[in-house]
Formats: sequence, structure tokens, C-alpha cells
Amino acid sequence: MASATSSTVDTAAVGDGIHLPDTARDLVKILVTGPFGWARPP
Amino acid sequence: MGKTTLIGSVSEIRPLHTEEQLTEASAQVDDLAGVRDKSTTTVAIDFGRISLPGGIVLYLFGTPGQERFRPLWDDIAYGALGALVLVDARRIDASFDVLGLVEETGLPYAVAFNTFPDAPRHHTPEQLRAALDLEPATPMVTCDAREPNSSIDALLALVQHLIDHRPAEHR
Amino acid sequence: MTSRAAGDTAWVLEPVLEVPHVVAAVLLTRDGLVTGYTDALSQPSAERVAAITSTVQGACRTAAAAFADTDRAEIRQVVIESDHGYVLIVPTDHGTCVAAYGDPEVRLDLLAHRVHSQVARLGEKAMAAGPRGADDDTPA
Repeated sequence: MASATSSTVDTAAVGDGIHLPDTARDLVKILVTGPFGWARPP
Repeated sequence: MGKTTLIGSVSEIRPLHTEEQLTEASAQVDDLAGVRDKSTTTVAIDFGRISLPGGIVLYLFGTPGQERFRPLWDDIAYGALGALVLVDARRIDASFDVLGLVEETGLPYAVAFNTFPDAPRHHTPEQLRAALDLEPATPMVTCDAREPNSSIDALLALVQHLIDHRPAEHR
Repeated sequence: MTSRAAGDTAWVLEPVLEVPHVVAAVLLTRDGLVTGYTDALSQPSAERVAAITSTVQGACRTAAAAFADTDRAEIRQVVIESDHGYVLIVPTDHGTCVAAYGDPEVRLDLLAHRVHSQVARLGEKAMAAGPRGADDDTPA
């Protein structure tokens, strides 16, 4: 499903080599986290 | 605990990593019992991006896994809408701190148990849910972080949870 | 000023303190553990400094690579300029970092010269030490 090389977020060129992300899509920040610090055994 | 691996599995752009070699001194501080081939640790963040069907683009920020990097949490978590918490079924107690931190931050989350093919099943799903004291609505899935489809399914479970529980409840 | 150091890291940090306006110096592992630190810091402060310095140099390495659109970069040094003064971070090529903090009057060129030469001396010592395990006897 996930392609390693394709880029699917559209950007609009505003001239002079500047690009802005397309804000029509929902951009969502997600944390991927896990055991925070391996606990030392008591 | 699979965070770096998961982001690497799903990211449609080349992922960002900030890994350093674990030193011998670190092996004394960090209890790595049962973790055989963990020779590096994330010291800042991992980063990747995946576009989901329906027009949602997830920017994934992987947090560092050692207690000494806990001061970074607020800055990394800022602006996040949810968290996918990877849990090792063999070391459930090691996840209590991060679950507490995610809840304290007010982030809706889903729990993904990292499956190891050779790990015996000690617990039923009900036992795992009870051991982690999860709310009934919190999604709990199994996930092989090395497998893109398995990892994407875990993220989809989280996204569905975010959609179902929008706006976020304030405690 | 003297340094409180694990093992013999005092020889690394004390010359850094000789640079005028240097407040503190730390020797750390690249994965964020403190190996030695100077008297201006308490142990908990030094531990916090080691962790965040590891983060900074790790993030900077990735940032340099990202701008160059590649996977790897080697940081020569990181300079942080703030209202408190300057932090200079220089990684070694054997898994450690020297970090120094000077007040706003510090001369960065002098500090950089001193820290880089200490890092070079650390490198010479690491080469001379031979394979890991030769010096440390772990209990059976």
C-alpha cells in the first residue's frame, strides 16, 4: 500500500520556486510512542 | 520497541531517524532483558508521512524511548492529535509510564501490541486490556511493526478512534 | 576549577575550563549518558545536559543530512547562541561528545580551538587503547 518513493501530498507553486502545501487535505500529527524508559527491576 | 521500525515500514517519504549506538554504560541503566538485537536508540525523533484513503495525511513523530529523554516530550507532543502506543506484551509494566504520560497530555490513543512470532501468548486480549487499565473505547490491536499492512492497520484503528471521538474530551 | 569525572576524563575537561568565560563542560556518550562534568554543574544537571546534548547533536546530524537530501552526515560542531551565552558541541568519532558552555563574553574561536584539540587528543587515546574490553575487566 505505502509506496516508498511516491509523494502524494499536493503542493501549489506560487512562483519563484516557492511551494506551499495544499491545505485542502487534513494534515494530522500523530505520535508513535512506546515503553518510556526500560524500568530497572526492583 | 518498534517505533522506529514502524515509521520506517509505513512512511511514503524517506523516513527521518536520529539513532545513536547504545553504549555499555547505557546497558547498565537501561534494562534490556529480553531485547536481543537492540543496539541503537532514538535520541530525538523519528519522522515519516503516510497518506490515508479519504484525504488524511498523517505526519508520524516517533518519540525517544529512554527515560532520560522525557524532557523532550512536551515539544514533540505539541500539536499532535493522537498517539499510537506500542506495547510489548512480555513487559506490560514497562508501558505504564508512557500510557500515563499520553493520558496526562490529553491525547486520544490506540494501543498496539508488538507481536513476535516466537513469543508465547501469555494473555488473552481481555487480560491485556485489564492489565493496562484501558478505557473500553481505547482501540487495542496487535501489530508487527516490520509489516507495512499490519502497521497501517494499527494507524487506521487510531484514526478511526480520533474520528469517533472528535472533539477531544477535556478532563 | 576542578572537574568531577568518571575515570580519567578530568584531563579532557579541565583544559576547556581554562578558556576565559567558560562556565561548564561535559563529556557524554552519544546516546545521552554523562561520563564527566565540571564543578559548576550538579550531577542531576549534568545528566540533563548529557541527555539533551545527545538529542541536539543527533537532531543536527539528521538536519544536515536532510538539507543535503541524503541519509548520513557527520557533524563537525554545533554552536548554540542564546541569551545565556554559547554552547559548543563537538562529537568524537568513537561515540562520545564534548560540550562546553561559555557566558556571552566567551571567545568562540578560542573555545572551539581548545575543544577540538581535546577531541583530537581523545581520538588519539581511543586509537592507542586497542580493542574494546582490553582495559575494562568485567566481573565474571
